[in-house]
Amino acid sequence: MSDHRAMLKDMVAKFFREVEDSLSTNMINAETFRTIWSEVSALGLPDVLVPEERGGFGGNWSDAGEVFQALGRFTLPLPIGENILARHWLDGLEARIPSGLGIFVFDRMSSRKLDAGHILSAPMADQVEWILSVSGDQWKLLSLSSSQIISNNQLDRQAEFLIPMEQLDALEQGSSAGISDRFFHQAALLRACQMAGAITAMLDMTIDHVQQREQFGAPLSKLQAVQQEVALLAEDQAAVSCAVASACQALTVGDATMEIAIAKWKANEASARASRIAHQLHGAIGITQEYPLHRYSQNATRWRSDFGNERYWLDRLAAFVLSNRDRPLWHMLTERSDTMLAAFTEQAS
Amino acid sequence: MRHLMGRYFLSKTRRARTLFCMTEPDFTPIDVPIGNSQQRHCLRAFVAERLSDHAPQDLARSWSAWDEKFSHDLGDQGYIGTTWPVEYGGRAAGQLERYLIIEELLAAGAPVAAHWFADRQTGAMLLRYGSEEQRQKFLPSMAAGEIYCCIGMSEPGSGSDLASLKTTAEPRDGGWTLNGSKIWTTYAHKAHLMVALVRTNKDAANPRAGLSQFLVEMDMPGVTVQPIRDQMGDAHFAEVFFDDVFVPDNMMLGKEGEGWAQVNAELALERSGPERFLSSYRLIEDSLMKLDAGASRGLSDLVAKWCAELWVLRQMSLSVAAKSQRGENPMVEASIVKDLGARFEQSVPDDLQACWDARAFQAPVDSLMETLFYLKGAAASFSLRGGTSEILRGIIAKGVMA
Repeated sequence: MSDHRAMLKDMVAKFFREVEDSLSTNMINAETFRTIWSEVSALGLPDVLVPEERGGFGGNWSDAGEVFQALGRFTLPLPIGENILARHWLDGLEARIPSGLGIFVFDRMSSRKLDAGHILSAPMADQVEWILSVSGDQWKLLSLSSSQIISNNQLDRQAEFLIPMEQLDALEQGSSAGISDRFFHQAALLRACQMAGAITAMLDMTIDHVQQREQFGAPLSKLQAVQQEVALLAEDQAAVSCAVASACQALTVGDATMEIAIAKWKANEASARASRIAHQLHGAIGITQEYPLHRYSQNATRWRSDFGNERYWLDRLAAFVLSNRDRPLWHMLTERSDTMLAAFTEQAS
Repeated sequence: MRHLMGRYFLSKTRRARTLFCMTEPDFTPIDVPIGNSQQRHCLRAFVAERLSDHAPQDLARSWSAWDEKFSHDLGDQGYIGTTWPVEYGGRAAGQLERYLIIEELLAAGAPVAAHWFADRQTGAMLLRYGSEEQRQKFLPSMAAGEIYCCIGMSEPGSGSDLASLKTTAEPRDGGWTLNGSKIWTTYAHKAHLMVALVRTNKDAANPRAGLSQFLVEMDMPGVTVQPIRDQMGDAHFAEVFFDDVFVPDNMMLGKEGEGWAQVNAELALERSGPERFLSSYRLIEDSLMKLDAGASRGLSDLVAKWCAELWVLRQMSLSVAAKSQRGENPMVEASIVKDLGARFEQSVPDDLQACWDARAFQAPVDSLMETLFYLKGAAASFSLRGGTSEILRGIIAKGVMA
C-alpha cells in the first residue's frame, strides 16, 4: 500500500472512531450532525475523488476504497460515501459541485419509488441539500430544503425519508451516454467496500469477545469448535477485503465491470455467512440493543440488497462469461489482470 | 442478564485493539506486473503444442500426473528452478515469474508431478539451508528436470500431529542410521531424493525440538517403497520403509534439531500457490467450451460463480506471492488461500453434478463426464494434502487471535 494511502486510512479510522465514540451515548440531532459534517468537510473527505485542480483531494479509487471500507467499519450516521460519489460524478459531468451534503438517486431503484416520490433510506437524509438524480442517460442536479422532505419511518439512526423529486428545482441538468450503468457499478462498489468494513468490524468484535468470555473455565477462544468458526469468519473477511480492494484498483486504471460485479457478489454472499458466525459466537449478548454488533450485521444486511443482490450480479456475470467464450476463461481472466497491472504500473511511474 | 455486565469492558477493549493491534490478515492486491505478456504467450504456445494429443480427462490430473519427458523438456526450456541462482542451473528470476509459469502449466493441465516438489520446495530449502556441496550436487539436475524429489513428512502414526513422528536417526561413524517409515509420500516410488523429517533426539523435552531433516537418496540400501493405490486406481503416493539406512553426515539438511522450524518454512511454500485453487480448472474450461448458448439458470449461475471465485482466489494468492517476493512469510494468509481454495476446488465437480443436464452440452459428453467423476473422486484429497482444513483453520484462528 502506498504511503499516502496508509496515512489516509489511519487518519480516517482515527477520526471515524472518535465520531463513533462521541455518538455512542447520544442520539444524533441536527446540531450534532452539523458539527460532524463540518469536521468531515474540513478533512476534505467529500472531495477525495475530486481532482486537485478543482480543489479536491485528487485521490484515486483505491484511496476512496479505504474511506468506504472505514465507513463500514465504523457506523457513522452520515451518507459520506454517497456524497463522495455524487461529487465525483458531477466533476466527471463537468457540472458545478455544490457545497453541503448531497447524495444521488437512481431512477432504477424502482422498488423504493412511490407515487409521491422516492424513498431515501440514507442516514440523516433529512439534512440533504442537493440530489444528483440519474435516469437513463439523463441527469439532474436538484436542490432541496428540509421543508420538502417528509420523514417516513424513524428507526434508530437509520431513517427513511420521502422526497418528492418532481417538485424539486433543477440547478443544472444534462445527458451523458451510459452513465446509469457506470454510476450503478460504482455505487455497488461503494456498498461492497462498506460491507467489507462491516465484516472486518464483526471479525474484530468476535475475536475480542471469544477471548474475553469464559465458559468451562477458559476463554471461548480455547475451544477448537470456536476456533474453526473464527477461522471461517476471517476467511470471509479476507476474501471480501481482497475482492473490493482489487476492484478499486481495476477501476483506478480502466474498465472494472467484471471486477465490480464479482466484488459486490462476493460481499453479498459472504456477509450473510459472516453475520451468522459473528452472532453465533457472541451468543445472546450479540442480539441485544445495547451491544453494538447489530449495527454492523444490520448494515451488512441492508447493503446486501442495495445496488444489486446476488441474483442481479450473477446474471450479469454469467452473460459476461458466456459471451467471452471465444477463448478459455483462464485466458480472459489473466489478460484482464495483466492489462490492468501493466496500466497500473505505467500510471504509477 | 448478568452476563451483559461485561459489555462496557468489551467495547473498550475493542477500541484499544483496533487502535494498537491490527491483526486482520492483509490481502493488499498485487500492484506489480506478473512477468510479462510475452512470457505467458511463449509458454502457452509451448504447452499447447506439447499437450495437443492429451485427452481432456488426462489433463485434469495435472500436478498428479507424472511425465518425465515433459519435465525434461520443461527443464530444457528453463521453466524449472527459474528463481534459483544461475550457478545452480536457475535463471535468478523473481517469485512472480515462477508464479506465471506454474499457473499457466496448471491451467493447461500439464503433467508436472515429476519435477513439482523439487521446483516448489526442495530447491528453495537447499538454497536456504543446504550446504554448498548439496546445492552443487542436486540443484543443476533438478533444474534440468532430471532429478525428482519427494517430501517425507507423514508417518503411519503421525498425520496432522506431525511432531509426534517416530522415524529415528541414530548417530554412527561418519553419519546416521535411519529406522522407521513414512506414508502418503507423493511419488516416493519414482523420486530420486527424499527430504525426510526424522527424530535425532528422543530425549528432547519438547517433541518439536528433537527433529532434523535429511536428504535421503531413494536407491540407498535399506530403503523400500510400496506404492499405495487411491480410490480412483491411481498410485500417486506410497509408503516408505527405512531399515538401518545409512545417511552420511553431509546429507543432513540444515542444522541438527532445527527440523521443525525448517519444515514450517517449507510448508508456507506449499500453501498459497495456484495449485491450491486450480485443481478443478480443467472441468471448468471443458464445461464452458461445450456448454450450449441457452444454458439453464442453474448452469449459468454456476459459470458466473466459477469466474468470480477463480478471480478472487487468484487475487488472494497473488497478494501472498507478492509478499513472498518482498521476503515476507505470510503463514496465516497462505493458510487462508489454501482452505478457501480447497473448498472451491471441491465444489466444482460437486456443483456441476448437481445441475448436470447432458442436453445442455454439445455431444459427445463422455470425456466431460469422465473428468467430472475423476474429480469427484480426487477432490477428497484437496482438503487433506499439504495440511488439512482443520489444521489450517487452527493456524488461522491462532494467527488472528494472537
